[in-house]
Amino acid sequence: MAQGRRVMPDPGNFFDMGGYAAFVWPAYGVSLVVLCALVAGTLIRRRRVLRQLAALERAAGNSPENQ
Amino acid sequence: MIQRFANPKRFDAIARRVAPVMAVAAAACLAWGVWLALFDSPPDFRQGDTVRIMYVHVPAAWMASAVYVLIAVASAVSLIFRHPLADVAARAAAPFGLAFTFLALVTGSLWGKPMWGTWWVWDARLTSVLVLFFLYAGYIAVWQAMEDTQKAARAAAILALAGSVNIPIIRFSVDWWNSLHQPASVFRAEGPTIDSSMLWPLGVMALAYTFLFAALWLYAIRTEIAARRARTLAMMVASRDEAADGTGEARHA
Repeated sequence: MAQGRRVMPDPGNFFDMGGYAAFVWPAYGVSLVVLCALVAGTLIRRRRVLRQLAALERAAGNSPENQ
Repeated sequence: MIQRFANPKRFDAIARRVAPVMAVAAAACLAWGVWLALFDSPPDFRQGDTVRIMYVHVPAAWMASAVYVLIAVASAVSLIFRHPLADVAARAAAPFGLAFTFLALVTGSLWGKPMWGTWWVWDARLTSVLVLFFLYAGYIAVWQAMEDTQKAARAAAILALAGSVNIPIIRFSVDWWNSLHQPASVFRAEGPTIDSSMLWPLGVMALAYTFLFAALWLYAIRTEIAARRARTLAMMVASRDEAADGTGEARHA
């Protein structure tokens, strides 16, 4: 299937993607955006939940029966 | 209660160490894979440079199905053995499955337009993957709609298991029906039909997606365990405060 290895294409052809730039770059772009969103979403939710949990643990620790 | 949380706690200790290793492996494979995919692989003799879309499309599509299989297995374990980690793990995986399915559909569309002349066609492969997308969405909606965790876990697990018939349909759709979509070219009994110059970037990208999912899944499971602990604590604090200030009766009335 292959045309032979192309190690380092010259920049003009590279960004042009053989005339298919309008399809190749959006495919990589949307992949990058979604994967970054997954990472960010996971970390943000984790931080929020841990903050809630810490607050609740403080509240539970100050309970009347513990004093 | 202690017995119930013993396993999740041990899991938490293990996941805390494994997740960063997975994250580093994902980053390394992603860097290497993108290099191979964009710079160090040839254009296809028929598809030209659009073949490079394969390196982000196929790993996303594989993950879309693989994550669903994980959810279905975890759901079965949850229903049969009532293991407290199983439905936590299943729930935590779902958003990633939804995202991978979305990526498979969008990148597939971006590949279909130049090669098939259309963004979308209602054939068996594309339609069954769209069904997978809605299965994920429905599964997540069930979890969010039901207040009672036990009931939500049960309903979601049943939905996940019922929907798992879609997985073999996706896998074999390209053999059972006429499709614009090409048949399997990597996991075949006779071996792959793709040249190794394209198999390498594909394999490395698939590894990158797998490691990334593994790392995020472990973080998400730990978050879900913490969220459930927070929920239990919140209920404890609420009932204690009611008992302490004597307004319990009034609130229940």
